[in-house]
Amino acid sequence: MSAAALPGIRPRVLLHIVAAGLRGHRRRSLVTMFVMSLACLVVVDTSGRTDATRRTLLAALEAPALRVVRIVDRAGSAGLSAATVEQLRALGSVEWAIGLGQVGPIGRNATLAASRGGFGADAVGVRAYVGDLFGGPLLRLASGRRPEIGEAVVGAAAARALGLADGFGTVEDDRQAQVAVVGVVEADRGVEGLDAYALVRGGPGTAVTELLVLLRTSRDVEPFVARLGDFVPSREGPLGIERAAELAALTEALAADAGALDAAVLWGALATTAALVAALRFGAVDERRREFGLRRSQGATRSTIGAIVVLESAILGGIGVVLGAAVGAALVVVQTGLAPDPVLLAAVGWLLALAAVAGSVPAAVAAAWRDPVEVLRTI
Amino acid sequence: MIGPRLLVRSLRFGYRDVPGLIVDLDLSVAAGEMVAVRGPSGSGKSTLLYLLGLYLRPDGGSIRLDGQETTSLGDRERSRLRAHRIGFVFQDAGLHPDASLVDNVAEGAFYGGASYGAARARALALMTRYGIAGLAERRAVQVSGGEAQRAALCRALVRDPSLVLADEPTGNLDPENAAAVIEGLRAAADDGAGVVVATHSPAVAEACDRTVLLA
Repeated sequence: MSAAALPGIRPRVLLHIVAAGLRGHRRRSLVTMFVMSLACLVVVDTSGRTDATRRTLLAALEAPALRVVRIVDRAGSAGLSAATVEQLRALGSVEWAIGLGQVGPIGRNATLAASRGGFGADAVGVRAYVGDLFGGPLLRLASGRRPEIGEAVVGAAAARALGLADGFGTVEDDRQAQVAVVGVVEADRGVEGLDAYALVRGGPGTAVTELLVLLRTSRDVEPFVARLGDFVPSREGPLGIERAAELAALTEALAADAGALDAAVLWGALATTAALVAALRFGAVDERRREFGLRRSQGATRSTIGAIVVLESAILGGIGVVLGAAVGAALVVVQTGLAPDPVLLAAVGWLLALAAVAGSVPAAVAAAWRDPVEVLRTI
Repeated sequence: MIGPRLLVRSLRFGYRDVPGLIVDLDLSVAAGEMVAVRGPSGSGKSTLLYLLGLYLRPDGGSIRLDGQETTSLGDRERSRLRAHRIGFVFQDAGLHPDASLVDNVAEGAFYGGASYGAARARALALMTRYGIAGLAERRAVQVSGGEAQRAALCRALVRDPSLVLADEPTGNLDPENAAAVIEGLRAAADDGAGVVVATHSPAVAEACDRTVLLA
């Protein structure tokens, strides 16, 4: 049989040798494992906390109030209508939309007005609306029922002004036209201006001069504003557009900055880990010159020697990474109350283990290429 | 007809600072033959064994092991040949100090593809033959020099080699252990191996079939 065809070491035997090497050099093995654990702990803890902070901030920036766009047709010439509202509601990026008419005649509590013999009671603005007032998260029916066409609900402030604590009554304007009030609505941040109005549900022909649109995410705001012209029938008049654009920009910046910080921490940790492992493994290889020389003298190939060194590092790195990740994850939970992203944990673990293996390669090459005769002469 | 286990022709080798250490050396070792290599210190005895053990590459000439030319082989093939066909006994046993004696002996078969169990079984059989089976699980640092050298001999033989090389194998031993090692080498030759022993000892040389002198 030619030399090339002769069988080499079996993988299980190689693992026996690796295990014996780790047991035989406990101190160095523990130090290497400790370094790996520490590196993993630092990265997982730092990245985990950064990620938790980012998630908390992003969640705050995704509050509904910051996703509202208000479009005002001050001149009343844009041709906005109930149909425009329906078009907007059909968009995938739109979570909720209503249209509002102009602030109409001043309305007063008809009963109070009558009892006081005229217009002496507090007054509120009356506005028509189209769309599902309660279809989004910003407005809630506090009491009463949803209005039919021609009926009204009032904001909490308006209810107080009108003296309609239970939300039922009648509002009449200065022309003594009366509208039934069937409920009180609570308005959240973003649409809090509606709190002061009596809102009358309008029909399909209702004239709309203001749109309130809630986008699904803050990142949808700018693209929506950019496309808005597609839904405005007439572009002659200027439209006032109000939105929390700076917050959307902040969202992007925050995500990018946090990502850059994560990457910097990770790359730093990888480089440090690889350097430390390389130094430790070089030390171990130097300490074990005689052992590797003996193995070569017994027929171990260079690749076998290299594999021993790399496998030892992989095992130490693997154990160190698991321990470090576990402790790091526990620290993140204690510090932030949020569990680290498992994908982040897995990615950090793999990369650090790879860094450990990569760091051991120079030592493995040095061990494999050491001249066995140099060792044999000292035996 | 079976050819020689080892056939060396016109072998030349020198170190950078010691050129021409070995010049046109011819040597043939038959199966069952035990050859002593003698010469003063610095004459190249150990270097010759390293060349025959395929640790060093000669500057010229030919080394055939079981008829196969080895000087043109790469490191991997030479390692494979060592793992399968060459046993080496050093002056100091050269064992892994923290490993058990049986694992040290079994290592001699690991790199030739033996399983862990099979290597240990063969190691224990050889250790029984050479009277050290009772020390099998002792760490190498816990046995005497003679016992360690017998273990080193077992390690060299565990792969059933064609060629056994021994570099001053009795140099550190008392006469009783030295005799045991010489007996072991002779037994390896009787089993069909070619044996080359570098030695200063006239007693070892006498136990060999013939002696090659290096100047």
